[in-house]
Amino acid sequence: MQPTGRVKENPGMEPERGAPPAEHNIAMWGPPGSGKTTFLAALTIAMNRRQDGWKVVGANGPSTDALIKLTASLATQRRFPAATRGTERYRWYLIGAARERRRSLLRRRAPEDVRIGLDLLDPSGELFNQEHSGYAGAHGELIDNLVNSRGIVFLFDPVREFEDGDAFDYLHGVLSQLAHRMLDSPEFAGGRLPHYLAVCVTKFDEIRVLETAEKLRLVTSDVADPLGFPKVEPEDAQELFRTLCEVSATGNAEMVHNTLAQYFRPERVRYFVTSAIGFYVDPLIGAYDRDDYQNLLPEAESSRAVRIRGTVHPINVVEPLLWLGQSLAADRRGRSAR
Amino acid sequence: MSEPDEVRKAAAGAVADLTERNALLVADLAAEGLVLWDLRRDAAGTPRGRSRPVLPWDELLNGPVPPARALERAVQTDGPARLLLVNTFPDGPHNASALDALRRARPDATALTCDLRLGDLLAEVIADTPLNRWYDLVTLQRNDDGRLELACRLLFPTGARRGEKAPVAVECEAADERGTVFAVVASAQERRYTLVTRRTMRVPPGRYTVTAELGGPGRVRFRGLPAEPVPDDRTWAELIGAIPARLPPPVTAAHLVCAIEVSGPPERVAERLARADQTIAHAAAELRDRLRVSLLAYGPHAFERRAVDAPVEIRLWAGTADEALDELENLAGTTHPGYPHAAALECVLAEVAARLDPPEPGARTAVLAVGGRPAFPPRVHPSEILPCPVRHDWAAAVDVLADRPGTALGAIHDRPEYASDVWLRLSDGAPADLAAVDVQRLGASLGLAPAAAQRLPFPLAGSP
Ligand SMILES: Nc1nc2c(ncn2[C@@H]2O[C@H](COP(=O)(O)OP(=O)(O)O)[C@@H](O)[C@H]2O)c(=O)[nH]1
Ligand SMILES: [Mg+2]
Repeated sequence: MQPTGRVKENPGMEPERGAPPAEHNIAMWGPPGSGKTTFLAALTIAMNRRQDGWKVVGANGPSTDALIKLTASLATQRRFPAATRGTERYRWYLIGAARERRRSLLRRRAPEDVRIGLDLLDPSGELFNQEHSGYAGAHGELIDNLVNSRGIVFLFDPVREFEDGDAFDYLHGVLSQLAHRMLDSPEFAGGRLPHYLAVCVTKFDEIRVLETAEKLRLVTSDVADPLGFPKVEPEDAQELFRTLCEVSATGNAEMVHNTLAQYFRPERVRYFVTSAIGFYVDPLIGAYDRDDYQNLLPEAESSRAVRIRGTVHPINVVEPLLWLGQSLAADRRGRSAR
Repeated sequence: MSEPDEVRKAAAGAVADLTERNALLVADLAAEGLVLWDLRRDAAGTPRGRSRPVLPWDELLNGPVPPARALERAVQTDGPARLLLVNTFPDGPHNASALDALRRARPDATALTCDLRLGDLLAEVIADTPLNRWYDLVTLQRNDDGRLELACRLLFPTGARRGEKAPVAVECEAADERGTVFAVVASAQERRYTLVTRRTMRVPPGRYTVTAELGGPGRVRFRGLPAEPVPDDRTWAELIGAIPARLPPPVTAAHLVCAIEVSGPPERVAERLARADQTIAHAAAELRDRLRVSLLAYGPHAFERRAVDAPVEIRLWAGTADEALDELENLAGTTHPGYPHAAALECVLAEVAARLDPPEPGARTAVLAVGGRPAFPPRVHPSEILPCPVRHDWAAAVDVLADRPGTALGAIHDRPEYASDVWLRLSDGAPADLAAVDVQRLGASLGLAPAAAQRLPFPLAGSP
């Protein structure tokens, strides 16, 4: 098996000619089925609801098309994106109206947009299973992707872990290879990767996840939230993540937590409890109902397929990306100031 | 030559004197030979006559034994017996001389000559014999505490004769498939009963005034029953053994509330409707106009945007069984689409609990659910089934129904091994299997029909 070169021909991921380069790159990563595509589909909706000027745009034609399709699927058709076939490659920009950095009485400079590149490389489950022991194909591409970014969104799906418990296998394979590739890098100091890592516990809207959080007494609700959604405070998210790891089907997920601690610098890791679709909101009540919050609707008696029941209210979908963006920006300012 | 009446009188006198031990031998000197009739009373005091095979004249008169000796031997009896000699073929070549020979051998015998059919005459004489016992109908009596006892109803006193009639009031409760036994017993002074005759008939439950008609000793007919006779090979001991210790209080009125799930594959729905049909028909056969039936059809809730959520339809409330059976036919072919993993049984139970009138003493209510899917939970549930939109709680509704006096709950489930908690609660942990419902048992467990162990082999003594 040949290690793939650092610079790859990778048309799907390349920004279109003429597009300004991103200041930072964030890679999205997680086992198949952990909710990556849905997470991205929810991003536009989430940004829309925030009304703080952030938006998502595609970096190239196929990514723009995909963005439109994914958003429409989730918001209008209330369907989850179709399971990935083959390998999906998206490159998007998160563009935010930045705070004005410098004020001058004489020269009024237009404020510069903040631009964060967001890469998703999403191999389907079968491809992953065939390849995850080597560098080949999409898997090698994924490692490249991670090597080239300094921010990672790692999606951890507790529901999948309850049933399959394969997150550790996946994580361990990828991280070993990533570490291997970065051995020579000066940034690889103290045996830890230089990346900022947003660990996102997905599917907070599901009973088993919310109930686990409730049992741990980690659920609060924000009086300022008009929907009254349950919430796990950022400082408690890690505890929920660790507990969810402990109840995984194989018991291996316990090692997920340790592995992350082993490879990343603790101050560069943050935990988020997220949901792409959010809790169900009854249009008549207009708020969260603790007796009836499931936002999934089974499709048919004989299949496991589900649909989205009500309106999509993404939870903590933008926050991890903004945290990564801000952290990377601060990092760069720090470095250039030195 | 004597008159037939003289023969009749002689025979009647001799039959009247019959006892269990003192027999009567009637010798018929007929054309073909000597026909002998043995008559004696059986344990019930009924005179019984049997004829022996003919002894041809040729054998008697031309055999190795001298004729007089042969004739004498033919009329010998083991025990004490009177002898009646009747020459019924006076013109026969051997008859007169044979009669003479027999008279010589048995001077105690009554001898007559008359051309008649002796068998018919004897049968008539027996039928005309007055009873020498009391005849009673076997009935059951319910004590105040519900215990059952055998009690006899006098039909005919001693001395009663053919043609006499006796009205008797009885109450037929549900019997098993072998029907109700109408048994007549005889007793003498000492009140020891002996079975005279019995007839098993399939009689619909109800009160009847039956007319017992005496057809002679050992013969009683019952008129005034809409009944169909059935063969019955149970022994007396088995019949007595089948009498339950006590009888549950009588059902004065019954209300069967049947809720049928109309979701899922059409052939499954059709099967559920067929079972409901059987159950209703069975209850109606037991209870007739004492039965009211309500019919609810239900499916899943609808969670789609703008979908109308009306999962429960009351198709009939407290109607007749016939109306219910018609309505079941109308239901054929309906299925409710909607949420695929549950059906609104919780709404059915809440609706029924709210709709039932206050219980009345003696009135039974049976709530039967026929379906397969679990109910919707009242709130978020580990099964991940969405909560009932109106937040009905099946457990609370079942509690209300279970506490209601005179109310029984039951369930027929598509696949009992997969039955969810609501189905188990409704059926004491064991729903009937849709594929193999024992309607009789189900009816009994719903209190709509007596259980097998509560079926009465005999009628209850009714008040006239
Ligand atoms: N309850 C819930 N389920 C989700 C959510 N996001 C994704 N899913 C489920 O997870 C499945 C896989 O998601 P997908 O985005 O295709 O995963 P990917 O393979 O990582 O891209 C979807 O089909 C949904 O059934 C969420 O926010 N909440
Ligand atoms: Mg995907």
